[in-house]
Amino acid sequence: MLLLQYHNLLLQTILTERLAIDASPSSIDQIVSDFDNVAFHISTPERKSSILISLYIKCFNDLQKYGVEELLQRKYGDYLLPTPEYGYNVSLMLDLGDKEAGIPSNIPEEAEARQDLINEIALLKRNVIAAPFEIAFDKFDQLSAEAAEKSLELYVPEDSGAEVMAIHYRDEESIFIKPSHDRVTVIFSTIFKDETDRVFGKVFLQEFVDARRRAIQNAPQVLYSHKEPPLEIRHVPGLKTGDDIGYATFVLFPRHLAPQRRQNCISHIQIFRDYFHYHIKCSKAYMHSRMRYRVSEFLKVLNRAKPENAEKEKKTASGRRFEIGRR
Amino acid sequence: MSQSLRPYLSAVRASLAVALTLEDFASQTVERHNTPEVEVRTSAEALLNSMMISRNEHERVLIEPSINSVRVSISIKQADEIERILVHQFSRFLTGRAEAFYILRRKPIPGYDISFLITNSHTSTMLKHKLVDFIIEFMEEVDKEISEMKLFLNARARFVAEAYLTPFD
Amino acid sequence: MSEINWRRINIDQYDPDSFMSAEELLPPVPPVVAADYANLAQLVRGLLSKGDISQALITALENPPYGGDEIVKASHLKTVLEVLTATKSSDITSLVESLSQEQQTTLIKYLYKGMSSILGQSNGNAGILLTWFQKTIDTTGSGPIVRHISDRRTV
Repeated sequence: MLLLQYHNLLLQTILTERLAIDASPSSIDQIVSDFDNVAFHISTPERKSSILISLYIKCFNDLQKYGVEELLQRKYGDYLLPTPEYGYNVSLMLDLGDKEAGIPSNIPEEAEARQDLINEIALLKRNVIAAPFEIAFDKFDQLSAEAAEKSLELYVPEDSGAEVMAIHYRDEESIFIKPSHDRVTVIFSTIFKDETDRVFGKVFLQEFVDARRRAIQNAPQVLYSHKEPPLEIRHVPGLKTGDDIGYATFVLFPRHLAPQRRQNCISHIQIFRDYFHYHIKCSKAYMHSRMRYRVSEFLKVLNRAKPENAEKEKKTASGRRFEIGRR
Repeated sequence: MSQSLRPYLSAVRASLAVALTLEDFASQTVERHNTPEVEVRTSAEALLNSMMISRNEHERVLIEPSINSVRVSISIKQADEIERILVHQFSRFLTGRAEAFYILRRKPIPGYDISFLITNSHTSTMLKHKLVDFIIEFMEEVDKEISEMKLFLNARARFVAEAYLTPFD
Repeated sequence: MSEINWRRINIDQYDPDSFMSAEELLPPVPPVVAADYANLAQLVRGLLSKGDISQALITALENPPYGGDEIVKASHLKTVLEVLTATKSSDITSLVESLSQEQQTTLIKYLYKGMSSILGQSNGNAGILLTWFQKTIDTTGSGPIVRHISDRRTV
């Protein structure tokens, strides 16, 4: 598995099981965690046929500023609960209906439409974080239209009209999004827990930077700065500097922001941080197994230094064991 | 094998062969103790002159002989930050398993990446020339392993980066 | 009464035979005058510029400054290194063969000392020293190494 999936597999599996046409209702109470300290709670609080899905995300306050509510309304309007479950930020209610009690179901009857719904719910985390990206991309449309009207040169100085949107999605790590008339800049701040992560991270990021030059000309431009935040976000208060912090900047060009690519682009850029750290951990694990192998090889060499076990079992002519020191 | 590695290793081999002439030697300062003289350094007459063999500024071996023990310390090549971290991890990995390695010193002496402490009890239970073989092979393999791991890391990083950036296209 | 804890006294410190310091182990060596070695270095350089490497090597190794302080030893090491690095690698074996046993031992001492100094490690000097070492050992066997580790007189 090279790339990470955008949706939550467990969520998808559970729902597929529950929402199958011939599934018999049963109670669920399960907490599913996802990347970036996101937690889902799937439960049947009232009766077996009504499924409550709640999501907790750390940066919900930030997201609220950037229109997550409209987005949720648009995507999950029919299922969204006005007040989320206690301790969670978003709650969806799926009702399978109860014929005996005369409660109608609120999910579509056709299998295909159901599958679409399941997929959409499995993407809940992705959709929540997508809100600021959508705003940024719309802003980009607006700015580029304005720029075209004023027939500005492509490389005019940055207009300070567009604010930098900051999403503090982990304890010490954030995403910053800055739209402008010819690009959208996405900056990830990331923490390296130890020295090895830091060094490995540097190697990886260097390859991200170089990949565009070498192989994939059409990829977004990647920049990397260690310790110091990049210029675009230097004015943002509360930024950390230090040995263990790194900033990865993605510059999305208009070709990446074309309407048919837009959704895919949002999904893909979101997983950057997790993808990146996932592969650092994988490399460490590989190094570890390699060293383990090498050490066992060394041990073999060292054990060659031990003389062959001289004390072979001695037998008498009649085949009886010959033991010294025994009576 | 690169040009200068062969004389380097053969110099280490010759020096080690000389240094590994150990005998039992009870402590002169503490009764009923028998400690590696090269570590305790209590009697000057039991210590011998040390030998340093170096290939360049970063790769060197220090052999400190004494009457009943030899300490061999190796400094491994570390050209950049990646190699430094790999060497660090590797030596930590080894010292964590020092129990299985008999002759490995649990902590390298300052300025070196890994140390071996060979005492007279090791030379009496193990074949001396094979011990020398082990140290030589160790030095050879460590260099190879570190550079292979570094190559792997770069290759993996490249692959990962390209795999990530391709879907944007 | 008991101001001193008699049981804790290390009585060995009153026994002169019990310890030997590194200084006591050093056999008597003639004291060294720094100026002599400055002249010697001059002489060796003169021989080197004439191309008489064999004589330069013997002169440099003849009287190692055993009794000198670190400064004299370091400067003499530099002189020896100059000779060693000026030699063509094809000449080494024949040069080593022309040395006396005492000089061969001194050569090994200088090779080890050279490799432990910054001067001997940098600029590719280490490679030259390793070649010298290899060829010397090939000629002499491990005798000089044994004499190096056991000789209390250091260069």
